[in-house]
Amino acid sequence: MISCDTVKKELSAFIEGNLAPNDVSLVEEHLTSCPDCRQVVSQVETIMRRMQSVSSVSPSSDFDRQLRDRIIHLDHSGWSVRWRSSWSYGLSGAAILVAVYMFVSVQLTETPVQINTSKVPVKNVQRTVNQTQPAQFVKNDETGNDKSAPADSIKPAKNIEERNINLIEK
Amino acid sequence: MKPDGSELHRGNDPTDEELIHRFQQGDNYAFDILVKRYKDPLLNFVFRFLGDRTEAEDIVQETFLRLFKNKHYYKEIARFSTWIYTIAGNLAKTELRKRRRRSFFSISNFTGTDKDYDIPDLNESPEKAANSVLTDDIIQDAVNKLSPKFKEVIVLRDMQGFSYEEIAEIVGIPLGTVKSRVNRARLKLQEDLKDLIIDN
Ligand SMILES: [Zn+2]
Repeated sequence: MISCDTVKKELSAFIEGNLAPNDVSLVEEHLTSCPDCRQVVSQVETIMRRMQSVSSVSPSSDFDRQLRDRIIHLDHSGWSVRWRSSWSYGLSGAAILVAVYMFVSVQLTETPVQINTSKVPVKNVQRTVNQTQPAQFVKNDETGNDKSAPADSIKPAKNIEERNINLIEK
Repeated sequence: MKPDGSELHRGNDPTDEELIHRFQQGDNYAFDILVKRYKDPLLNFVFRFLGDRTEAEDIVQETFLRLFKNKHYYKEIARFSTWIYTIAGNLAKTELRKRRRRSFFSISNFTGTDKDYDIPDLNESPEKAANSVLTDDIIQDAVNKLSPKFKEVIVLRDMQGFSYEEIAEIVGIPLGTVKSRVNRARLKLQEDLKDLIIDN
């Protein structure tokens, strides 16, 4: 007669009907004389049935919106040029706002500098602007959840983006 | 719970493979359909694997982000379903490793699930109790105790209904290893739960 260990090793194949007829007879023969293995087989079957019937969970109602936000964020950090081009309306709106924002901040921060460094060529001034301004955006992208000023200033365009992306809700 | 978008055409619905192909060509609406098709099954897979709803949801989102960013990594040799499950499974395993590292520093935060258990009514008939005593939470708690390599295969097999061949593809291990892991996981669960099961 085969051992209890052998029966346990072939247990799943036996329950799922994947055992050769010869082996089935051997297992059945063992089971008739071994109450321990009989109990194991029956309990494993019970557990398998329960596993199949565990209640399923659903994504939260916020799931789609969060995913959309994360994808938009992904794009702002420089990913996926294709995606940008296919939904360019919303994003160009965002780009315009970013440009306006940058222009306003540049005006605010650079005006005094220009007065003091009149000998510095315009080119150099612009390079300083380009170095300092985007740094703030990079910081926001890296932290991932920073909802501070620059990100908020893009907000109006987000609605346009949401309409264009239409993620899942259809 | 497993999605049925692969291979078979469901009426006029496009297959997963058609959708990922369209998405690769720049059709973002195809991405939306894939998300709609997979968010539920993936959430249930990751939730049963991690035992934490919030973490599971985050990982499923991350899975779709990876799909979005890395759509061109998908090659037609694999089924889309196994490909996306592999991504989700790997992210879930990484999360488990992180969690283990965290628990090393704060053991108090890691004492199994912190949910209340459904206490079975002891006045019920024994037959009824046999069915009701194995609540979802008790099943989940037993699954949580398995090591990740057993957990992954048993969730895919007994909760999600994947074939052994599909699991081998998802997990990236030989078919024989899948079968023996599933079998051992079932025996471990039985060992853990045997005192709760009343045999008829
Ligand atoms: Zn025996």
